[in-house]
Amino acid sequence: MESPKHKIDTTQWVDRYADYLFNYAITRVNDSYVAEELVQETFVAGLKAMKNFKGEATERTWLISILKRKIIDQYQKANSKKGQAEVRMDYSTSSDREGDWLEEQVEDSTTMNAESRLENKELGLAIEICLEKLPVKQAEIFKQKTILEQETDTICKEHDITASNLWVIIHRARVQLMKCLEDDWFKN
Amino acid sequence: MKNKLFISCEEAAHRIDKAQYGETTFWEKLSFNFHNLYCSHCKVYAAINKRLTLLFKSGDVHCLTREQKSKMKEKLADTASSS
Repeated sequence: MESPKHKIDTTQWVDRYADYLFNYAITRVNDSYVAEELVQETFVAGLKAMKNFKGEATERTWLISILKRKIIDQYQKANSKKGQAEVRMDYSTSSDREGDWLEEQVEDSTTMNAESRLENKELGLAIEICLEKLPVKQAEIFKQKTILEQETDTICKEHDITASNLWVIIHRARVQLMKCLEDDWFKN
Repeated sequence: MKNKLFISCEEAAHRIDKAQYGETTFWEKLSFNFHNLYCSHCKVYAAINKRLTLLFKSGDVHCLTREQKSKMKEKLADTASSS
């Protein structure tokens, strides 16, 4: 029997979960455009499958499970197009890599090993969880300043706040994040 | 703002935050460094704050812009109204 234990407010989904899902997707598909599309598809699929949500997991966990399936579909789609793609693939312009398929160059070119890459992905998601705990407006302004690296003036105009207000918001956000990461990341 | 060498912890914290975004002036840096000489509390705050900045740089954190989110909201609203 169905019990309406959990009420979903889909109008809050984008503000609450879009960045977390985007982070999750981008670290797996390495393409911001594709990641954005996957997040959009996840929300649409979630909306259509809302009646299946029993409230046993959090909304975020449930949306992540949908996103995971979308990512698998994306990989399968990419693999099914592989044969066609190879015909159109170009060589690297760099002479020392001539002859390498573009496909082989997808791997991260930095010297990071698999373990540190995994740790960075986890850290990215841990940061995102801490960001979710901030008030929506505060998180938005902080992200614009810190992640999107937008100019102070631009953010102030957009939110109709003074530079002093902005720095107070940034300060509060940083203090809360430091505490959250200290509790959730460094102690584990 | 009048330049002064002795600043309060509140002002120092403000400068530490601004420094994370490379937005401090020469004088602000100087007065903050001077403040750090005698204030261990702010010194700790500066160290933790710097660590947070490094975490953001190493944590591979991404986010969507306001425009991208607006489009998503519109699409979601359209889907909700059509279903």
